[in-house]
Amino acid sequence: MNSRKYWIVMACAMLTTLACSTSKGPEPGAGGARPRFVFISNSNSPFWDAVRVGLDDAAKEFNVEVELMRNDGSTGGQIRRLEQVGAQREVKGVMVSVVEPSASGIIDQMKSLRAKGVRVIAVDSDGPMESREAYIGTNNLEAGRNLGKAAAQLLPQGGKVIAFVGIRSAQNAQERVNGFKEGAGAKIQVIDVMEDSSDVNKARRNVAAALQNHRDVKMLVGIWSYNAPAIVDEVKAAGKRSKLKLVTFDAEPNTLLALKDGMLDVTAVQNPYRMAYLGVKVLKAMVDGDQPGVTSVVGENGIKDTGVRLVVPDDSKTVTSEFLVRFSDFKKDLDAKGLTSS
Amino acid sequence: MSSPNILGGQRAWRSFLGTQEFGLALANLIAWGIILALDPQHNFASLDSARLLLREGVLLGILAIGAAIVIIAGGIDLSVGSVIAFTGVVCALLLRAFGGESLAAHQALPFWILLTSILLTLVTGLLVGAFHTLLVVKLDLPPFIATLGTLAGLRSLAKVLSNDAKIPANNDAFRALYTIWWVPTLILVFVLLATALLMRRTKVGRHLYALGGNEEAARLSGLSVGQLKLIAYSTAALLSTVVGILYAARQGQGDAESAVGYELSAIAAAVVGGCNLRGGIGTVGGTVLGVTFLTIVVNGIANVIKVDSTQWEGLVMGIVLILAVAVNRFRKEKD
Repeated sequence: MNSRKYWIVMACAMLTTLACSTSKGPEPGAGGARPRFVFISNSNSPFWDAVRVGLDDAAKEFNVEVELMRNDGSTGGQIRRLEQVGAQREVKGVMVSVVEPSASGIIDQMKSLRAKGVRVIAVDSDGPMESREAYIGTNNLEAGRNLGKAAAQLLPQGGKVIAFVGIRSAQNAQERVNGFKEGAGAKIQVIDVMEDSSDVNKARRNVAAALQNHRDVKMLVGIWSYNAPAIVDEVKAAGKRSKLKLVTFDAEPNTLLALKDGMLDVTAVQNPYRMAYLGVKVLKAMVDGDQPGVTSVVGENGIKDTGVRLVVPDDSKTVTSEFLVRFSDFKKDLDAKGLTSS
Repeated sequence: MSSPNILGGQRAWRSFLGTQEFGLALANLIAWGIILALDPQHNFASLDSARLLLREGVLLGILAIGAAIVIIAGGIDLSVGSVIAFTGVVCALLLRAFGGESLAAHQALPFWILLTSILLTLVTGLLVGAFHTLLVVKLDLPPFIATLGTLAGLRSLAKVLSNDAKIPANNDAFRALYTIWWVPTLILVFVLLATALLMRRTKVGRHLYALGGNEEAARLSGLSVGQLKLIAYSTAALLSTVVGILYAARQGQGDAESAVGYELSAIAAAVVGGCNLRGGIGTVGGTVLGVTFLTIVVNGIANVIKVDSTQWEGLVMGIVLILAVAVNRFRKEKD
């Protein structure tokens, strides 16, 4: 066999694998009939599992196809995924959780999609106004304020606090940290915001380093979803739970376990299921030219706050808030939707 | 009766049809055709798709040519992803240092600032290549270990230099290096022609093949092994630096976390293109065809698998790589 035949065999074998894997895709003939939407996440964590359920439920209800593309947390990765989507003619709408609103490469790609007639909205993490038609997600500043107020109740005498986050410059990260500072007040000093670049192992190392280097710290704050389990594990390993207050965002499966066991004091939970569901609903209305349908979700200003809840262990007595919900009630709500995280 | 000219032409044609490059080109065409057929929307027939493949292929192409030259010379360079991140940060820092307020205010930068920043970044890349040579030749470290060290070290140094922050490079003229599609394409064409000439038409190129084929024999033949390694590692580092600059232009920022794992893509493309990891075998043309093959397949996944396509990319890349190495090995045994 000469080299030409070898390469033909190789191409066919590899592409047979590719063809076989399409069994996971949509049914034959379905591709052209229904509008196709893509959701590009900013990172990959269990937070997006709830988004997936919301997308799937909405896809069934609104008769569309939806793909969740999980980004690796990098700016380059998100640019590449946006470029890929731009080359797929059947994609009519894109939801983006923007990694970095200051990265002009991402913003250029979002604008380029819009110029081609693709409807683009930001979900979970916002981008500049010119890059998207609407934003659906948590009002992160307000969510940060609420968590900050809870932190002030947990530490009435104040003290030093360290926060942990994937990417400091991400819009949702900045807003949560700033909101937390506002809500917590002057007695609570955020002495460091440690960045892990969406690397879960580094997130753990950051917590361990913080515990070693700042023995007078009174509270740890997890800003992104995976920071909560990282904080809990390292604090547990260091045997410092009794000396530290732990407050976080989001509710990954391990965060829920920690709440159940009283290893966390409070977590501010967003509603990723609802973000995804409403994202699909808005895009469908946009594609159908149903402006009243769009406005009914995102209003005239194009922004929909999906709200936040403060989840505390069942026996918690310190934190009070109009958004408070106890673990058992929250878990029942998740189970009803078939979710394992939020 | 056939004339000698016609017979010679037929032999040359048959010989061309039997080359690895022709086989690869055909594999490219088949892959493109099958993906086009499997995709209900036939996205690969669109201009947008061609642009996407070009954009993706250009960066990987420049990188893979550098990786191929080192592999042909009998070495390996695992640091290319970190060199991209490091030099991207260096370039953005230089733009900020020279551009100052103009860059912050998104104003046009004088040409000398762009040129100086890019040239100094390229010099930095050459120094990285020289450092690799120093480790491999003077300290006699295995290339795998030497470049594994810089893989970790350079990314860390990029974080130190940038203080773990993204360094903005939001200047239109700088970003045009990537955003105007023909600029990076032209760079790839230049790199392709220059390196193909180097490897095929010069004494240095032949000596690099000899070095990769048998280092001891090359040394005993009087070849300057140290100088040849300097050329190989410096070329690879320089080309990674070019990609680092283009990558910073693509993102509009220098990012110490960028291009993670790119070394594997570059090596995979070189191997798929026919380079033998034991050295001495491979061509620049084959490497570029390996790049186009990987680019078509990896980007085609999203067109064929419409749901959760990103989960399949690694698997398909792995299958292609294993098949390519197996095919090369089988061919060698047959030959």
